[in-house]
This record gives sequence, structure tokens and C-alpha cells, in this order.
Amino acid sequence: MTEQTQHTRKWPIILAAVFIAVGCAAWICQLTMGLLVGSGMSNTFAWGLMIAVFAFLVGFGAGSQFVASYIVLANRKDLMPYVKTAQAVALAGAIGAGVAILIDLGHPAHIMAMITGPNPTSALTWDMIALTVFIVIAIINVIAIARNSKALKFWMVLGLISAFALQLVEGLLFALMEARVWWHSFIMPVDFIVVAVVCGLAIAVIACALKKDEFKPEALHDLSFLLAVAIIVHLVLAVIELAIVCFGGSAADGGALAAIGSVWLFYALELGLPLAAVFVLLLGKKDPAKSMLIGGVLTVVGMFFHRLMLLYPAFASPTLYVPLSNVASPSWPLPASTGLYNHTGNAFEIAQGYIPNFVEWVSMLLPLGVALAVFLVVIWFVAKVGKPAAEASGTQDIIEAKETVEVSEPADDPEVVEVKEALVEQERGEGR
Amino acid sequence: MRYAMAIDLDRCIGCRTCAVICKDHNAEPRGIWWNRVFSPGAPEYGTSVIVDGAPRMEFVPISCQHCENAPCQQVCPTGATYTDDTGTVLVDYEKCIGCRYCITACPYEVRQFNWSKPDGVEGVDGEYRWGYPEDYRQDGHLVYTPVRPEGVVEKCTFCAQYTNQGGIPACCTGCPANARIFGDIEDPESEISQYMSGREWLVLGESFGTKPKVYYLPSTRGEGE
Ligand code: SF4
Ligand code: SF4
Repeated sequence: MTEQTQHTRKWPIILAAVFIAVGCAAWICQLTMGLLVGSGMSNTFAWGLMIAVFAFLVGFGAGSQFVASYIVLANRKDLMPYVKTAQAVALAGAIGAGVAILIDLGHPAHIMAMITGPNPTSALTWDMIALTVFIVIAIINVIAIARNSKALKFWMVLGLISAFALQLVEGLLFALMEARVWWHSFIMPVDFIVVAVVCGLAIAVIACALKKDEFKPEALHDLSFLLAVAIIVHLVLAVIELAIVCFGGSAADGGALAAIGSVWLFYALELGLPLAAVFVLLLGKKDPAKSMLIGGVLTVVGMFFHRLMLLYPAFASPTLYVPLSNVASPSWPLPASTGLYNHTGNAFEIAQGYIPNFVEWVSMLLPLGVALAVFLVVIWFVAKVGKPAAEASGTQDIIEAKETVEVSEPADDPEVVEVKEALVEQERGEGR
Repeated sequence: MRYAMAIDLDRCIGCRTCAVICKDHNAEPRGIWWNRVFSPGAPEYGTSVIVDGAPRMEFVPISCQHCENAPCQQVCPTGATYTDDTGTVLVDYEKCIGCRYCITACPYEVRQFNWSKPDGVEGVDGEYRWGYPEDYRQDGHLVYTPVRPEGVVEKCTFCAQYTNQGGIPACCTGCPANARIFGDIEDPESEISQYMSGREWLVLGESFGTKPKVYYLPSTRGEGE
């Protein structure tokens, strides 16, 4: 390994460690100072940045599981080298999301109450069960990949089902809230599944573009095309979601629209960035890898705004509208107690905006750092455990996939020589 | 037995005594209000709103509606929010993990979160405390404590510490206009059943299907104009 490779292998570890340390410090601040000064939330805007991060990470987790399962079950040998990365992102995203939810709790010391007496009618209970099952199956899949297990296909089917269930429950967690018009529609669970596919493919597109030499151009093209299609489906669902509120006609629908208007830039970015990604992915033929990189990054950033926009129209708008009792009149929202009197002096507000404060932004680094650390551990583990198994069997799919790349081109083709060298170098690196 | 409350909008004068006495008797930390009174549509509190060319003013006190079909209870992952034998919806402070899912589920925006450590009010003796002075447990659940734990949710309990001992909620005792009537809605002889007998009533947010047990008797002022 060259000195430079050693450096490139070290910086993600350092980054993960710094993220975890700094994020932990911010969380401790929140625990000791309280969320009044440790966040920008209020009684009316009761879920903030950490819930957006939770949904963001869980989307990448489930989505990458979709991609990993697809590659194995559809026997896409041309994409097989990406499987272990996809599975690592799946596990990392889910564990990072679990950490985000834990950090968000106001009184984590009572967490045992959830284990000793879970309420079966709560979607949050089912969410925790779905997340735990997903993580367990993802761990088994990591081991199955590393050991080139014969049962890999079976576990990948379970992985697919668990990812689907996780996103469904996730969507229902929001959609069942009748009080929030922005969430209360059948679109929410469907879109949660589609957004996970978008996220999983976006990461796949970025990762494969970065290692373009390991894949045939057709495989890369397929990934780009699949991502573009998934984004289009998501955008159609987003437009239907908006139409439901636009044509809902109730005062609460009007409130949600006004809330969207107050953060129109976020909404524009939520829709505009993935749309731009579609054009880049489909039209950027000159340098496909570069287009994939740009399209993937635009999508990931767009999905972050999408997750933030889960919150604004739902919380920055009142839920209850009251008319006069004895005469036909319009309905008006009643101010609610913000809980912020000690902080801002505002006791009651009709609707409360939300700007995540500095501590919240920094605490976001903890789940992201944990996700990165899990990712690195999985990659290391697969390389460590996988190498002897691969050598012993000599038949594993991932090796076969690499051979496919090799035999599909004339041996003296300089590009193939480059690919071979890259693979050899990668295997050497993984073995260490 | 089903505890319920009737609020007579003809009697309410919007003095907000109920909100203040509630805060006092239940030792609500600063910034936390279980009970609030507002005038729908009015740009400022206690001002009128023009409807069909005529000025109108109405006061709507609002606290937990003790929904029979309570979404807050349904979503609470730990069962910290539960309904007792009297139909009162309560929160066990020792089981609440502070996930705030119940806040997102309640359409009435009455749930309050302890965003910070409660900072008591200092009196002349340097130790002034207000509110019911002791913990109150119901079947082992801690449903009232004068010094709240940080990071848990709280809301109106129909003053469980009083009603379970035969009393009535502080807001009913304190209302100078006798606009609030409390009692067992299943007992035809109770004060609330007698008061509501033969009268029209409405509930807030009916479309949510929550089946509130706080009933509003519509105002008759201005009728027949
Ligand atoms: S008013 Fe809100 S807090 Fe009270 S029972 Fe109904 S949903 Fe729960
Ligand atoms: S904040 Fe507390 S009472 Fe509310 S749903 Fe969560 S655990 Fe239950």
C-alpha cells in the first residue's frame, strides 16, 4: 500500500471519530442545558432537525438494502462489486437513524419503559421493532456476503422485506396523524418507499461513479436510468401530495400551504434539485461518470430538503380551527402555548416557525459519525473475513463478477488492464 | 363512570381565572399552560371580530379534551399516556420518554413539553413553592409531581389529585362566572348531566373523530338580532 493510499484510508476514520466526539459534546450540552436552549423547537414545532436526520438516514439504510437485494436476487453480476458497499450503507443508515431517534428523546433515561411495556397501537413501537429487525437482518447479510454464504439469497429476500416493512411503518408513523393535513394521506407511506429507492440508488450512483473502472458502462448507465425513473416517480407523488392540500379546501389545508410559502426556498430545493438530477443523469452523455456524480449529489441534497419539508408544513401551521358557536362564521386558529416563555418571552403563538439552532446542527454530527463508523467497520470486516473465504471457494459471485468484466473485453485492451490493476489493488487493500 | 366537563360559552367572560388557577394548583412550570382562553378570529385578546357586518366576541377556554378516542394515547409508545377508569387521560411522568409523538398527534395543541429544568419561583422565605405540594400516584402511576422531571410531556389531568379524592378541578372551583361544570356524564343525577339536560352542545374538532369529553354549550348572545 502506498503512503497516499494509507492516508486516504485514514481520513474517513478520523472524520468519523471527530463527528462522534463533537456530536456527543453537543448532545451532552442538550442533556445538561435542556432543549430550551439546546434546540429551536417549541410545543407547536415539537419535532425538529433530528427527526429529519432520522428519516434521511433511514431512507438511505432501507434504500441501500433494496439495491443490495436487487443486485443479488436479480443476479446482476455486472453490479456485484457494489453489493458489500450497499449492504454497509444499509446497516450504517439504520444504526445512524436509531442513534438520531435516541438523541431526540427528551427523557432517554426512561427508555426501558419502551422495552418493558411497549404500546402495540403506537406506530413508533412498530417503527422501533421494524428498525431492530432490519438491523439484525442487515448484520446477517453483512456476514453472509463476507463468508459468501450459500444462504445469501435467502437473507437478501428477508432484507428486502424488512426494508419494505421499515419504510412502510415509517410512512404510516406520519400518515396516521389525522391532526396534520400535510402527512395524513395515502401518499406518505408509498412515497417513503419510493424515496428510499431514490436514496439507495443515489448513493449507488455516486459510489459506482467514483469506482467507475470496476463496472461496465452499461451497468453504470442502468443505475443512472433507474435513479432517474425513481426520482420521477417520487416527484409525481410529491405533486399529488401538494395537489391534495391545494384542493383540500379546509382551513388547515390553507395553513399548511401558508407554511410551505414561508419556507418556499426549501420546497423549491426539495423538488428542484432532484429534477435537475434527472436531466443531468439522462442527458449528461459526454462524461457519464461525472454526470452520475453530479446527479447523485444533487439527489442526496434534495432528499435532505425533502426530509426537512416533512416538518415545516406539518408543524408551522395550526391544527385546530374554531368558528363562533352560534352564528355561521369562518374558522380561526387559536393561539397555543409555545413553552418558550423563559427563552423568548412569547407565551402564545398561532404558529411557530423553526430554525434549528447551533447545538442542534452540531448534534447532527453524532448520528452521521456513527453511520460513517459503522460503514467503515463493515467494509473492513468484509475485507478481513471475506478474503480467505473467497480464496477458498474461488467461486464466489463477487469474484465472478470481476471476471465477467475481465473476459468481456479483449485482454490487451488498455482499459481492461487498468480495471484488472484496480481490482488487484483493491483486493490487496481489502486483505490488509 | 365517565368524567366530563361542560363549558357554557354564554357564561364565560374571558377573565382567564381558570388558566391561572390551573397553573397555580398544578404547579405548572414557567412557560407551560394546560389551559388557555382565546377569542376566535380576534386580532387581539378580548377584541371583537366582524362577522356579517356585526361585531362579535366569544371566549373559548381550551385544555385537554379527555378524548374518548384519544390519538395521544394511541401513539404513545410506552403507554405513559393512558386513560383511567374515570375516562380521564393521564400521563405517567415516570414512563414518558419525551418522544413528543403525542404532541404531534393531539389536534388541540394542549400538550406541553418540559423543554428545560423547571425553575421554581422564589418567595420571601427563599423557598416558595406553589401548587398541590405532594406527588400524586394513581395505581402506581406518577400523574402529578410538584417539581417536574425535565423532558417529559404534561397536560390537564382534570386535577386528578383532587377529583380522585372527591373534589372537582381547580378551574371549576375558580371560575367566577360558574361557566365550567364537572362530573360523571354517565350519572343522570350528576351536576353536569343535569346542567346539559335538554341543551344543545358541541365539541371542538369533531372531524378528527376524537370524541372529546369536554362539551361546549353554544353562546345564545346575539340570537334573534
Ligand atoms: S385533547 Fe389532546 S391530549 Fe387531550 S386526550 Fe385529546 S388528544 Fe389527548
Ligand atoms: S412524549 Fe411521553 S407521553 Fe408523549 S408519546 Fe412520548 S412517551 Fe408518550
